[in-house]
Amino acid sequence: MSSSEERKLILKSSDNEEFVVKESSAVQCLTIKNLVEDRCVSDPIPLANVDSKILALVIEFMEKHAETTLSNSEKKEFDVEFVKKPFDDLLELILAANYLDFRELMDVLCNTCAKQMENWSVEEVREKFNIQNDYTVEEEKAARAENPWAFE
Amino acid sequence: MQETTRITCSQPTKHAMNVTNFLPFDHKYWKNSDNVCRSKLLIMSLKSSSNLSPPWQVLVLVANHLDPKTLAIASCVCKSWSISMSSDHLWQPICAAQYPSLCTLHAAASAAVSYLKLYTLGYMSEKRRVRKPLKPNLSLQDIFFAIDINNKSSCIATTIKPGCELEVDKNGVFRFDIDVKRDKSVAFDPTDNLRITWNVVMKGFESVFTMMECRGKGNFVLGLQGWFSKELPLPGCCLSGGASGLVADLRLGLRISGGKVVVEKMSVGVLSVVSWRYVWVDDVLRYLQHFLLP
Repeated sequence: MSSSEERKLILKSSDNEEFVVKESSAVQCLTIKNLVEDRCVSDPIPLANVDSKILALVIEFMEKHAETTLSNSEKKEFDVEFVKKPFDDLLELILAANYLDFRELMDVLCNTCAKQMENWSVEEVREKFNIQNDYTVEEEKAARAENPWAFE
Repeated sequence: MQETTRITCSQPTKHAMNVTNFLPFDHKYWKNSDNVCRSKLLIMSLKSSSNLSPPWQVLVLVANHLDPKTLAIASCVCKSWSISMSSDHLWQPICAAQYPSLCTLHAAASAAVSYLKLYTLGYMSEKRRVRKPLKPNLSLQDIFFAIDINNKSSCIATTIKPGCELEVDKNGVFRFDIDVKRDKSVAFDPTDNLRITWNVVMKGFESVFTMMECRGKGNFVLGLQGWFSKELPLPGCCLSGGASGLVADLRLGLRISGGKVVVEKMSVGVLSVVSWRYVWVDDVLRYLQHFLLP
């Protein structure tokens, strides 16, 4: 293998779309790194839990962060723009990052979500996560009364 | 069709993960399981929330990054969230960081106290420590001062001053200068033994508190000021025994008349023996409340 040629991997999303990526970028995902090191790489690598839309985004992030020519502040600027996405997309990205074991992406996404959630009310949390409230009026009052300081 | 399936902790298989209805959440399982099973149970509990909600595993992942307030809000969202968002593994690091001195309480009682509970206690206790006192229920308008000075033979000075007429010190301390009317003041020998009485009376004579009753010559210094002081009692409702740390202070301003002296001014106040400074008006009113209000 000549050193001037970059090794490439093919990743296949759950909806059967294929993406070509540099191995050096892809190994930021420990799941993929482990496959490579254990020489279990099939061609293409099937990622059953990640659809093409999300996989494309992950690859975008992955390649940006693998670029050695970029400074840390440039990468941070990219991150700031990258997370300007609908909340639901961020959650899906978190799942993908977790599945792929992509620590850096996970941290950026989780911190963003946590920051966004900071000033939400209970109702907003329910709305954004699409949760059904199964409390009765009294039960909810009691639940809120357990942590009154959160509602000040 | 959705079926209810009981989860057994020993085999959280992939099949079990696909359960869509897990109701009701059974605490018995929670108590008897280890951390691995617990995280799977956490996931199960979240899964039961709704089929349309975002993937539940993501909550478990994000929860570790949430600040205490958001976590507490999240725990009020629904029943299953209240269990997962109050989990010890989330709250223990938060508690350890913010209230490390309380963490030892976790195992103090025979039943362990949750870290969320400890956090709540820490937060409330911090608030209480810096709490400001309530506004007094008594105001200067409600009271009047009655001050009498007697020597062996007669009353040498007397004054009644309603609280509303008192000139409040510019620093807001409980210290007032009171002029004595000429016709209420009689000349006396400065070496006489005096008896001083200072009463604080509620409007309408509803109650009275004797600030000072003392006898003596006072400390007459050059410049013609007599100085009297008396320690104030501790209100019994707060602490039994011990000193209040407060002193009632009265100074007489005198002028010479013939070979004798006449009281022309009185200065009254309350001093703290700890700082040797005059105490704030509100603090003295809160003190007097104990004795004047029912």
